Amino acid sequence: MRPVNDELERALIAVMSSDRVHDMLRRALNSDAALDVIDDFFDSGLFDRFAERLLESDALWHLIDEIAASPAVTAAISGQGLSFADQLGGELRSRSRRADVRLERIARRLSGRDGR
Amino acid sequence: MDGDPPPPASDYVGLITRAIALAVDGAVINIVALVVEGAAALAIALFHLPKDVRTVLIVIGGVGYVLWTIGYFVGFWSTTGQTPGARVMQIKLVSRSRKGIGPRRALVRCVGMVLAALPLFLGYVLIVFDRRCRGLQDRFAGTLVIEAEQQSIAAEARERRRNVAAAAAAQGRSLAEEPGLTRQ
Repeated sequence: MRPVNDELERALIAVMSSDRVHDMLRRALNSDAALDVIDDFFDSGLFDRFAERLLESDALWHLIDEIAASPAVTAAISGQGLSFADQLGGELRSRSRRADVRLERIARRLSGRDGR
Repeated sequence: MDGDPPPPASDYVGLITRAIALAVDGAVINIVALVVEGAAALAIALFHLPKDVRTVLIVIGGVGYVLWTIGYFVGFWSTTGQTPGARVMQIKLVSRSRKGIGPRRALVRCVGMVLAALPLFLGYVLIVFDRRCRGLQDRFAGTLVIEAEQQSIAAEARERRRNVAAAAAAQGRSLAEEPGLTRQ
């Protein structure tokens, strides 16, 4: 049985990696028929039914709760908030320093004193 | 001045940066005071107190607010040299010899801040004209406000997380190296 499986696997790999098969697939995906299939799929209401059932599923909401409360997600959210605050603080600092330099220049001019 | 070592030329902090730091501190002080006062007012509203007692409580609240404000500045200046506002703006309060200041000098500077504000904030305007950016309060207490470049709070948090992850990874590795725990 094993040699048969190996042969089958080799044949499948050969088919999948063939340029001809790739061309055929590309042509099929670019054809109007492919677009019709997608339209038919959505018109059939199958997807709506799937989405409805998915949203009714308790398991989905449980999964979402688990993901939302996961340390990775909470760390990412808090990291994002801190990065924003960091960016804001950095911008505020550089602007205030520039304003200080300008103000000091004006003061120097007014008092006729040399630079620091 | 007074035989102190001449500090580096460019690390004194100007009026606008210091004003923003002070505004941040003002916001922190007032938000905390508002929350506490609100909670106290709600609690007191449950009792029907005579007018005189209410007046006394208002006075106590006012004194508490002043003490809280003084304590805030004196506490931060005499421990880290940085109030939260100064931390945000990355500036620091030091003595003329560039060392930390004690509570007494911090208290003197607090008084100096009030004095500087009295003549239409002219005491603060001195910062712009002084070579070392000293306001009246700094001359009064013998202090300087200097740049204190440091890691931002976000960068510190990131580094902490990285260290925790590295420690966890190292722990995992050391557990895996235990002879009894390796997979056969």
